[in-house]
Amino acid sequence: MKDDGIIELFQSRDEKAIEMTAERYGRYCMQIAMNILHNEWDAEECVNDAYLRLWNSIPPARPKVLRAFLGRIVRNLSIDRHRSIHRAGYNSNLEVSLEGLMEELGDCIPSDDEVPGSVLEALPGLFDGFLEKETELNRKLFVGRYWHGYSMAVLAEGYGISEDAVDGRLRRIRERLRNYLEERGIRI
Amino acid sequence: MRRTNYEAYKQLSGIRDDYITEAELPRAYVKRSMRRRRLKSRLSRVVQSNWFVAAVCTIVSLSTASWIAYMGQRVPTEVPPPYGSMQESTATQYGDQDPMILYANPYEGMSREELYELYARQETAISRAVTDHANRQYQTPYYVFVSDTENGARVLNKLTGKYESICKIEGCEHTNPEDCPATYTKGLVPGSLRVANDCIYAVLESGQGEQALFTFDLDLTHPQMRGAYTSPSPVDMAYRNLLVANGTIYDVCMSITPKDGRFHFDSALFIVENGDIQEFASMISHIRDGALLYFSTHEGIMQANLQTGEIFPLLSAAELGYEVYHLPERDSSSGYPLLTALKNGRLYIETVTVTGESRYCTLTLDTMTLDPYIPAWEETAPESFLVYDGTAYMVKQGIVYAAHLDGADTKMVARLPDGQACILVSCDGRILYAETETHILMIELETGKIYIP
Repeated sequence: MKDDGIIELFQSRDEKAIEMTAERYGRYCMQIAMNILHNEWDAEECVNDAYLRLWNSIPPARPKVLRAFLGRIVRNLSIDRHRSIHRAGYNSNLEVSLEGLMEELGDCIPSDDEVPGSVLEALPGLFDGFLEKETELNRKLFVGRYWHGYSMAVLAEGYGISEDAVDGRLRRIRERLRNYLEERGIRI
Repeated sequence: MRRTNYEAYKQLSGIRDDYITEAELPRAYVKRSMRRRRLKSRLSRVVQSNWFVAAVCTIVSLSTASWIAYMGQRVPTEVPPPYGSMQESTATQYGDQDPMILYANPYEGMSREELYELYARQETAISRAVTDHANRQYQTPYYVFVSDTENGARVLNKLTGKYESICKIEGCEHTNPEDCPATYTKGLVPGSLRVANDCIYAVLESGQGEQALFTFDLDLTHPQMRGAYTSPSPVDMAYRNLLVANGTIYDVCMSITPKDGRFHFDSALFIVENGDIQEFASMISHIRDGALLYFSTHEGIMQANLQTGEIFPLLSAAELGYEVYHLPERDSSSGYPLLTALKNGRLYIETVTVTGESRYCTLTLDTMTLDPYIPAWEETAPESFLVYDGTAYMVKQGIVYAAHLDGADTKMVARLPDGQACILVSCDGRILYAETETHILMIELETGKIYIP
């Protein structure tokens, strides 16, 4: 079933909407959750929670791109879950841990314990503005790494460049992001 | 090192929809790493649960012989008994009994000749079983080749049920170390093993990336290097197919190189015995049926006659409904075809699109009619699957199932110990080989018994 049909099912409160969503996007959601959590059980729970969240969001929401809308929910739930697991003392040492990604971004995204709400609200728009200026490949590498959580090896294979090249490009993108945000008054 | 604020990191989720979707890579790239992680995740849970059981046993001091025997059966830790002492089993066919783990050799009692006869009857089917899975290893009448990057090339000897190293062949007295297969520690190049003319042909790779073609007798003795490769560069090589027909070795090497925004498929045909290199055809996957070879390229499905050298196009990319892979456009209609099986005169074709989705169809060769179908594994989303002789074997949540290619008649074959994950490696019609992170499991299809060599 296509996105429009699924959204109609949600709008009419038909429980088949969840089933259809799981069928169409189940594997996509699991991939996002696994890239953050690295644990199948936790990932499955997050994906199931995301379906419920979607059910509660539509209506009133009517997403233009269901794939991105749902992916965003899964990503946020997975980060929250990772945070609670991490607080409980769990430490993942798998290939792309969330800690690793957050450390990579530590010098270019606000790292204080408390970030003002106004800054948090402004960040998505600032990210969009920054990414718009980047080349298509750089944008894909940045979003692939820090949104989808792909490993360097997967990115290198996917775009036909070496892992060193991916690493170097990401480092330079992070430097530019830091300057971009600081120029707009964001304290890193 | 500083770490960014969780809430700030979460704000990345709010970027534009099109930035999210354009950066999503085709599932084919991430599928393999995802499978590896799932396997790790499951294995670590198995290890954790076993630690838990062991701790409970220690604390409660249930040191009775029955507990030890029970645990020994569930999680074998003993040294395997010598060849010839297979334990009795009460397992029933396709039953949902607890897994019956045995240390022994399911081929016990068979002579080399009988084993070779079994293999010869199923040779064609065996060669089909690995299509589409470059990481699946072939087997010979006596050996299953096991990928093992840490220990070098290893083989599982079917007659003894034990692992042997291909690098420790008795009677190997090469004066030039480069002529000795022991130099090629990295082992078998995927897709490069063939058994024909009563010998084994295998391309081995050294730790430095050099590759050479060797021939062995069927019991892995008398290795002879037939030629070393200098081009194309092994690091560019994505896939190779070794074919032996009419005494000639056809070694098709294919490389996939991203260039100018497109994936370039290059191939070369090595006729190793006289050192000639000839252009043949780019090949993504193939199925051989006697003298006929069906293969897929980025342009469609082709048929080659290995006796006459003639090549005929069967289906074009347009007829299969995809455009040639073109990365920057990320057109969801672009992709490439894979041949998964040839059964009852029908070719089973999977078209993988750039967005990682798969479409399936069959081509009836007599009438050249194309029909869509939904294979069993697509409906059940298994963790691993293998096609062998028209049957799809799949693993889902620790259970191995068998089903027809059209998805009908799914049966349970065996239950894996502790529901652990595994990857199906190969099948010979009698035994299904599965690889966990620590073991090769031999699953007897008729009884559901699981053997650990």
